[in-house]
Amino acid sequence: MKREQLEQEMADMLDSGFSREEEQKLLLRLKAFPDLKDDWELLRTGLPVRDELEQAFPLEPASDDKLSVIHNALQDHRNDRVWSRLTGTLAAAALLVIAFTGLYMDRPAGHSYTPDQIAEWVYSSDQQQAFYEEQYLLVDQFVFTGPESLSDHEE
Amino acid sequence: MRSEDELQQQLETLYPRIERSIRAYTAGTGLDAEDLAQETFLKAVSSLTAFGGASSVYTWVFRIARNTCIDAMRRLRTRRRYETGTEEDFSGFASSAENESDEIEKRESVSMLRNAIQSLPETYRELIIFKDLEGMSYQEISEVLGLQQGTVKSRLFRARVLLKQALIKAGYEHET
Repeated sequence: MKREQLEQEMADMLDSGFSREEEQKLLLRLKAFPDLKDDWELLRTGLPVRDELEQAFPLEPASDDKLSVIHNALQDHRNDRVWSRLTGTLAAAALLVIAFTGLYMDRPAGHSYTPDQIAEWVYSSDQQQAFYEEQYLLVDQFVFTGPESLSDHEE
Repeated sequence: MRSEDELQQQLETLYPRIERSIRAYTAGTGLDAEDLAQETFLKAVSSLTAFGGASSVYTWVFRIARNTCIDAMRRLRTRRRYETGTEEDFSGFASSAENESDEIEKRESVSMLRNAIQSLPETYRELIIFKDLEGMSYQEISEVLGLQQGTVKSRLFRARVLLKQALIKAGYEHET
């Protein structure tokens, strides 16, 4: 077992307590490290407990001046965050407005037709439709039966 | 923001603990623990946005406090080196504080304990403060120091040995 591992084990034992049997096992392992055994003997008799340390370094109430400076800094941080979010939102909204305005400006121009123009358009559409339909009907009259049918027409 | 609210809520209870730890860590150096505690919290507020919430606010503030102390002590060390033209370590602070302290008070166990902690090297002193004074868990200490829990345990063991030796030397008697 390495020194570090033994030190860790001893730290654990000092924190959580140990039985005589556990200590005997530890002492066997410590035979290879006499200095660590001395350290263990030193610490097992007691350490300064938390109460003693707290007496040496007692908690002192925070001064209002110091706390108010920190509270103000926290408030400033919060305000900065709100402002940065607000300006971000406003900037995004402004970009959207610009984009939509651009789209509106570039929209296709509207047209208005007079009844005569519409009638003319309908009439020409009808004519076109009629032409296509006639073509379709005429096609039926030419039955393609091979090269003979072409020669018949040539005659 | 969660961490911001957490810091706001914990400020009243966390501030005295941070201030006490700083006082214990910088004892004998002449540094003002209250100023450093305030600096710690102002740094925490300014870096709230960068705090990812990977650790608790509690250990995060302790980490900032530790770094603030290290920086302050480094600045002080540089200034003293510049002023005196000599290298000075913190065992010097400890002994000077011991000399300055009242002879009567020196006999008191509180004073002995304070001086013994002051005499510890920084790496060991902070472990005594975090574990034995603040009662932090090994997990929390390893988060603050950025060390493996095993390393924290073995280092704490050595710190306690050094503390005990210093206390025996000073004639300290335990309450236990």
